[in-house]
Amino acid sequence: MAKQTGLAWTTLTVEDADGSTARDIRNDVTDFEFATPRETQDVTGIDKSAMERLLLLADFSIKMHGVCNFGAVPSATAHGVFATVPSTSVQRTTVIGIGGKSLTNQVLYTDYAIKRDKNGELTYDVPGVLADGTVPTWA
Amino acid sequence: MLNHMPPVGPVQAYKTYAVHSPLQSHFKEVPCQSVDCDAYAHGWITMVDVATELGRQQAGYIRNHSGRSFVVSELGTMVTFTFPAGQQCFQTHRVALEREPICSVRGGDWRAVTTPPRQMRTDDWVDDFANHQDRLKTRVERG
Repeated sequence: MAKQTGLAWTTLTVEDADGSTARDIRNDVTDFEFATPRETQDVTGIDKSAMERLLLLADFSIKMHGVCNFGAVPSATAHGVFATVPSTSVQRTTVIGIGGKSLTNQVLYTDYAIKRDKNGELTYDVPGVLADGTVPTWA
Repeated sequence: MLNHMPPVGPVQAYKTYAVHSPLQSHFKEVPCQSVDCDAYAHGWITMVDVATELGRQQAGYIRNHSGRSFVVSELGTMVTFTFPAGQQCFQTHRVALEREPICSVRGGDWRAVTTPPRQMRTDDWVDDFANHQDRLKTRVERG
């Protein structure tokens, strides 16, 4: 049996609308995912310019999902951070970190959708795309 | 429908790294006291409009099934329930269990799943993700 590390997520921060204050939103995010290009599959023919492939290689998207928390201190909750998504267009530095490694991205979030399902759960989804075209790398 | 930026390539050209912490397994429900709930500390007010079906159901629940003590006042069709401090509020409070999240890798992106998710240990997931990103970075730098 493989050894269990028992690690909890160590970092998940997203910047506020001011574009400089990082907020720890780990407690309000239950799922997130990164869609990255598959390097091995070239989608443009070899007759196309390299530029198209470059665009694809730099094309990343992110989606976060969590439980709504309209806490007493809005700036300390995911809602406080994401509530400004529809009204601002600012690149937000998003950092995820685990096991001593971290991944830092400049992300443009494009929506903040709140959903109440049948059994009363109030959840949100926040999709985003990489804003500056730099491939995020683990450090 | 979420407002997504359309990806450049077709769905087969993407690979998704996901982290899940399901509420059922990675969180537990805790009472108000554990999370310094303001409603518990100071009491709270719930106003319902009994002119509506929803309002009647809410008022019926509070009066007959909630099991909480309250003072009620009515103004027209608006009914105000004032709950004194020291009671569990109506919100569900959850705290994370600090468990290792479920990490998986799959083909596709938010549009579709092209290969089924493969679950990985966190360390391996980070490693796989890091190698993948590194390959992409190398390709971008090569041009």
